[in-house]
Amino acid sequence: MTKYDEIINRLKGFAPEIRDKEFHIQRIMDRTMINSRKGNSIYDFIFGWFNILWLRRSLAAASVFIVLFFVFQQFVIVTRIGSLEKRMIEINTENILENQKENVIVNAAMFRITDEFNFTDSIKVAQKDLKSLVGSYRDLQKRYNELQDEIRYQKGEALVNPGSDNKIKL
Amino acid sequence: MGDRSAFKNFAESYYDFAYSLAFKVLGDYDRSNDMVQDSFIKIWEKRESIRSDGSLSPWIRKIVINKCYDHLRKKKRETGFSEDSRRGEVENLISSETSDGKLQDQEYSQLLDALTSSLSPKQKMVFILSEIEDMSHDEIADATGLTKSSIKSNLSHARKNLRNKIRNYLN
Repeated sequence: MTKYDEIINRLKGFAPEIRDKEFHIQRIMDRTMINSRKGNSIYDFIFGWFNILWLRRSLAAASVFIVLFFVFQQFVIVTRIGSLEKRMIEINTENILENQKENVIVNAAMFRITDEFNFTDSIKVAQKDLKSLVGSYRDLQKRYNELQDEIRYQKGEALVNPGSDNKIKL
Repeated sequence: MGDRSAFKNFAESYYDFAYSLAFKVLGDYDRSNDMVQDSFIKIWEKRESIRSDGSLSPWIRKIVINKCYDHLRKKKRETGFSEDSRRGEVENLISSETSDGKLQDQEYSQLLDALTSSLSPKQKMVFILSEIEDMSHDEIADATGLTKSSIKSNLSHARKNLRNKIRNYLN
């Protein structure tokens, strides 16, 4: 027999001394009493369902389903946001193009105005000032048209197609 | 089992068995009693699911083993195993020729601590259940939830470790 076997045999043959058995059993019984009282508490009334296995499993399954549904919804929302962003970009592109178109008209008008002013000498005008000038011109044009309409109205002429073909002669 | 007096009789009948097992695993009077108490409280809580047709011993053994195993793992996490501070006494126990002499509680604790201090909780558990408690691999697997291959490898490692320790003490 090796030393290892000898020691194992000694450990195997060991039996602990049982001390204060009654005291420890009484403690167990006291704890079961506390445990039973706890079982009637409001906490157990509210969360007691957790001990019902089928209910616990059903709720666990439901929570998994809800999580999966949430993930699916997130996916759908993200996809839709992506699609909307794409559309917004397209619309914005159209707007930009539209604005550019308007700018072309304004620029053409500006050139026309500047041409009509017939500046003989080369002068430098700030673009801001030029835009302000065009704005004033358009405003004046509008007021002029309104005034023309008013005059026609005063004369008793029918107000048909107001403001048409009336341009301020610069 | 719903009756408290019946439960008291039950606790009285199985207390020795549960305490003996807990002490063999933990080697400590207070901790063993705590584990036994916790085990009985668990049994009280699960009393509705106890089937009276079979023997209760394997069921109680399983609960006590699980409680002790949890405790060993917690102890390992919190403090780690302590180094053997009573080398002389352990050397005497190991080199003693009186192999038929019964160990006292304190001697068993010292010997167990000295031999298994460097083992992991899993190795210690498997070693005690297999070598000291004479449980089969199937029974250990059923009680601890470990696989048979894990039990074999842990037991092999524990045996090797213990042989080295014994050799060191003897030298």
